[in-house]
Amino acid sequence: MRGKRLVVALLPLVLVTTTWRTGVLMGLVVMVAAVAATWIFGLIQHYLPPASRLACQIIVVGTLIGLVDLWLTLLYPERRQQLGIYLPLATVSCLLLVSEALEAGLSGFGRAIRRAVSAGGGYLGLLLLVGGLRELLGRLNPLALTSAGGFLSFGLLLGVMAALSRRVGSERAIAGLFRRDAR
Amino acid sequence: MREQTRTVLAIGIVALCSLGVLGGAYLVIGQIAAGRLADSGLSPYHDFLPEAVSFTPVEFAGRVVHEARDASGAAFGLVFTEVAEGFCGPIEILVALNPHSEQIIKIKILTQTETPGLGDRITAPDFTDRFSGKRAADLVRIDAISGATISSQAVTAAVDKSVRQVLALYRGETP
Repeated sequence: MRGKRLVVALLPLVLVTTTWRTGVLMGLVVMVAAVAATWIFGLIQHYLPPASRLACQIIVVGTLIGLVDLWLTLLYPERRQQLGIYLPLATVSCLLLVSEALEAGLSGFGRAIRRAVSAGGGYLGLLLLVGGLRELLGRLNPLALTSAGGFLSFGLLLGVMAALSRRVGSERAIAGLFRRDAR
Repeated sequence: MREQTRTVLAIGIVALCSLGVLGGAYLVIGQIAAGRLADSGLSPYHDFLPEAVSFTPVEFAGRVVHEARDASGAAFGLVFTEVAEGFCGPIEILVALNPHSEQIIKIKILTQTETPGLGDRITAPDFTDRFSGKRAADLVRIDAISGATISSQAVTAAVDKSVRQVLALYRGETP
């Protein structure tokens, strides 16, 4: 299924990235939580019965995002307010990155961590890119700062990426966000 | 059956650990935040009304109001909290009022549990800024937020009630 991609974790991507700063903050939160969760889960997963693993992954990721939430709420309330409801919702994006990293890392712990770092880093980079693009476009036209503008900016980036990957002939895309649907 | 018990047990243990971690973090981070505030020597109201140099608590018939004074020592504002009954639960509001012109300086929503995306828009400056410069009698002209009618009207009503009450107490107490 060449050329077809699955795009996930769009909610924070479109709604939080009105400036590059909030984009980076969200990306950092997701990346740090994903790497930490992969590390913690990599350590404990062998003690867990297979049927309980998904539930435990959700609890571990939820706890880490909850910790970040607490830390921001109590010490940096202004920053926390910028992320709004999308910080707790980032649990889902983070969970996707973690489960993919763990799957990729079945052959080794180090590989899973590397995978989480690269996927989280890719997500952070993308949020920075979309945030920066919207901030620039927003100066020309306030539409870019609305949700519709978020989708438009993201669509623009997707178009650029598709053109690039056709030229390079590579199926690899920005880490973590895009997965070939035929796995 | 045995496998099921192990699964439930594993999830339970992980959940308990999570609870412990979050609870511990709440205590630790809360203490750091409180320590920072104490170190800065600022009143918790300082962020709300940065133009005030000091806040003096005054009690009017059981109601505690903080008098905000500027650098010259003149009291230019009264700061007090009021609780409104929102759609999902209590909404705690911080109000700063100029007792001389009887105008509201500003308000801020301290805590609320309204519906995310709907009722919680009462915390947005877009709504709270509507109160600045208004007298109690002008508050009826504040439009409710569509989609957050109950929450926004509850805030307006509570501010109205508390402003009238505090002004009456203030006039009664200071000749």
